Amino acid sequence: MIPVLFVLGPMGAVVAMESLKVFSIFGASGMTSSLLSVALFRELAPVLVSVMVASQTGAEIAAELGAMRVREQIDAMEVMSVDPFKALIVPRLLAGLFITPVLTLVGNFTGILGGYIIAVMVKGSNGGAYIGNLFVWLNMMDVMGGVIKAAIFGLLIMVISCYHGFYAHGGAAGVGQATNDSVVHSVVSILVMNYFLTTAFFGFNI
Amino acid sequence: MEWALHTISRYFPFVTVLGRMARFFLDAAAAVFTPKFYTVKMLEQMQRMCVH
Repeated sequence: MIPVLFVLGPMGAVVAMESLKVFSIFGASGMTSSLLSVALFRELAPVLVSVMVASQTGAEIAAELGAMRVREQIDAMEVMSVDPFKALIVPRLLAGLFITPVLTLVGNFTGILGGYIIAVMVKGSNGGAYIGNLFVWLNMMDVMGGVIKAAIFGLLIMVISCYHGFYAHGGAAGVGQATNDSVVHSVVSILVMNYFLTTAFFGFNI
Repeated sequence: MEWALHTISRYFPFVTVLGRMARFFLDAAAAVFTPKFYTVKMLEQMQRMCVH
C-alpha cells in the first residue's frame, strides 16, 4: 500500500501542476480539481495501481510458486491429494480481485491530496474552489468504471503471475524467467486491456 | 503464402500461451466452486498484498 501512496500522490501533484498552468491562461484555475478527479478515477489510479500490484505482488507470487514448483513442493501436494489449484491459486486470484479495487480507491484519494498540496498550498490556488469543483464532472459511472477496471486488472495480474509461477521450470534460472515474464506480460496486458475497457465503459458516453 | 505461414508460425507460441492461460483460468474458476473453500488463505493473501 505504501508504494501505491508514493506513486499516486506525486502523480496527482504533477497533473494538478500541469493543468493549473493551462487553466490559468483561461482564468479557470478552479477547474484543476475537476480534471484531476476525472483523470484519476477513470484512468490513472486503476492503471498505476495495477502496475504496482503487478510489479510487487505479481512478481512475488510468480517467484514463490516457481520456487515451489522447482523444489517439487507442488508435486508433493498432488501426491498427498491436495489440489494445488484450491490451496495455492484460488486464494491468490480472489485476493487480487478484491484488493486491487480497494487500493485503487486509496490511490484516488492520495492523488487528490497530492493535487491539493501542489495546487492550493504551493501554487496558491483557491482551496474552496478546489474542493467545490472536485466532483463537478465526476459521476458514479466514472467511479464504478474505475473500480471495475481495477478488479479486472487484479484478476488478470493474478492469472498471469500464477500461470508463470505454476508452470516454471529449469531451476533457479527458470524461476527468474517466470518472474520476469509475469511482470512484463502483466503490464502489457493491463495497458492493452485498459484501452478496450475504457472504450467499453466511457467510449460511447464522453 | 510463405509470409502468412511464417507469421502464423512466429506468433503460434503466443496463441498457445493464451490458450493455456485461458485453460488455467478455467481450472482455477472451477476450483472456486468447491465445498471446501480456503477463506483464511485468501485473507492471508489479501493482507500480504496490503502490507506491501
